[in-house]
Amino acid sequence: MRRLFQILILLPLLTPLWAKVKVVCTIPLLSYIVREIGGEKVEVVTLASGERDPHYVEPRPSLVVSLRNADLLVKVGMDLDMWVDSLVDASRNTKIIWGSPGYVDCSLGIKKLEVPRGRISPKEGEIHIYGNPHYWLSPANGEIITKNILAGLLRVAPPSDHGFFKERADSFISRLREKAKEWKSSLAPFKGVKFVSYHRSFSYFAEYFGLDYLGTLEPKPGIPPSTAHIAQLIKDMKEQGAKLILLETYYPRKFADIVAKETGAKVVVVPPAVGAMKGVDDYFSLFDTIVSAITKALR
Amino acid sequence: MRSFIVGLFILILALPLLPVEEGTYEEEITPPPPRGELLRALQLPEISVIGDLQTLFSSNKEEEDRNKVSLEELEIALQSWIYPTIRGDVFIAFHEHKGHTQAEVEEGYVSFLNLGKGFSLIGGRKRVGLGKENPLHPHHRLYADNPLVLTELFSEHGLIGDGATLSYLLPSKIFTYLDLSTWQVVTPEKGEGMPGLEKTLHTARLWVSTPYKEGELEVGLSFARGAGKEPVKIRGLDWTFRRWPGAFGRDLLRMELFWAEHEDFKKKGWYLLGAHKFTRYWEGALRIDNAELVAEEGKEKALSLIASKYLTETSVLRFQYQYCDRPQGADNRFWVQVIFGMGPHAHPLE
Repeated sequence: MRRLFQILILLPLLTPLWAKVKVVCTIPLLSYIVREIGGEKVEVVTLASGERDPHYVEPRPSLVVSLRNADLLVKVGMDLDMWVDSLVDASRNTKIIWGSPGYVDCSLGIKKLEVPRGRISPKEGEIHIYGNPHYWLSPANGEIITKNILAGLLRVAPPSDHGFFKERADSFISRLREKAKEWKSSLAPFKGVKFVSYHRSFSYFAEYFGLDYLGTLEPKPGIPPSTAHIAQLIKDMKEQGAKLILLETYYPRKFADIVAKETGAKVVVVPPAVGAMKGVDDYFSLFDTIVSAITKALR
Repeated sequence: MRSFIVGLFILILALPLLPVEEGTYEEEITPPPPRGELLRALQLPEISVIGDLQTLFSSNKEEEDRNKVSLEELEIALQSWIYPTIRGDVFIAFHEHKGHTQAEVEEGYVSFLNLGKGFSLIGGRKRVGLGKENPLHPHHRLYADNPLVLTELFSEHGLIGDGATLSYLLPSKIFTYLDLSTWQVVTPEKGEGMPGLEKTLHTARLWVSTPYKEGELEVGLSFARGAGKEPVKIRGLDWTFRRWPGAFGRDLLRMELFWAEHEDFKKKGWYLLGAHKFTRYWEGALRIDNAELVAEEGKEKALSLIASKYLTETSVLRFQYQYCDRPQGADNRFWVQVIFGMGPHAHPLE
């Protein structure tokens, strides 16, 4: 009986040894990397579905419950997932507000592209003041995301787990570097190839793999294609010999098909994020799918 | 020595002109705040303006706004954090009232968002948290007009009061939120809405929300009670189901019912709203209204068909047709509404 009491008294003290770090991520890609680093020592909840354009997620009350108990919030940042802010406010969880140890903005340290200069206004469309937020589409940035998440986990997890997280993060980064070499060599023959997409989702991808971004079907971010813009784009593509249209799974196909018909370019439907297409469940399959679709189209 | 100091001075002045490279991993130490780097630097609140421009075509010749373009409402919002867990929100509205443009503080409140243990406190002027739609600003709704039951029981601008709300987020696995408030009613003014409203009002709202069939099901129970011997009593029930198919889609089904009583006055009303977002830009909606009239016997019933084109999150072009059946006869009404938003505009979770 006395032993039972001793165990019952010691039990709460031992709980942190097997307590999992509760992590809430805004998009599936971040959840995947958190699981890669945290393994069985983390409990991960994803707020938005991968099929949803991460710019347009409607906050819903039930998501507050996950945030209320979270130790760590992992977000894309750069105002892409600013819809999470009202949920964080509603959760009353000060552990995960901006400036707290449990707040991870994965864009920290990313070399940001297309940062608007001068006066910024909606005249330029749905512009992001911190620059293009689709930075995860570069394997080099995948490393930075991993480091940011690791730093967050180290801030909130018990020191006994730090070695475990560091080891797994290092292993993930090594695998990513190996795969990045493969992807780079697959796309090497197409260096300098000019392409267009619907939204400007592939700037980081193009920079990393040496492709040449000619333009987008949208005249400006978030603004639907216009006849005049499409006509100009067709002219530019013909003049510059662009033969590839990367169409993100979120967007309608009809404009891409019109342009393809006029220019002879191939339309390749690709996932811009993890979960955006069936079978694209992790960071590796995201690049595998995009790289293989491009090589197949241009071969 | 003098030229050295002058040189150093010039160098300091010239420093901001030197080219600065983009941030690298080593350089950035803290992440940018969630909203507005520029505003942060200036310590200004977030300032936004929402305009609601409407044209109403109506077969009812007695309708005041008939066949006129009118700026129904212009809302100026000033929003900012005051302290790490305290927010301030002020919404000043300009709208037409009895032929004159009137400016009023529609809402102005301070939110203590974390009192600990899931409690928070809001004090100031606010749209009363009674039901689902009354707390929403008109520009945030999916239609141009006010649901008939809200106009009849409260006013054209809803129910607004000065007071305080204590909120509690229950530590349960299902989102459960309880609001307890006390108000001095500001809108409606005496003579508008149901009798007995222009006094002290105590309200309670229980809001429960849970994932359901790849969507979200919300249920709300509201209760209001006035002061005095024979106080006003209002009971409300609302439920909403939303789901988000595809990259941009949204389906919504909402119903809200109210029962109100005061002395020998007893009225009820409801509306049912269904909406489907076809694409990122276009949404179609249908609303059925049924409300007992406050000023006379009888009912008002309406059917509305609504099409909205979303240009941005806060800018919408909307067309609404309504067939409205009143004791005096039936009316056909058609609105063209343009909502235009400028600047960063946010509302708490709804």
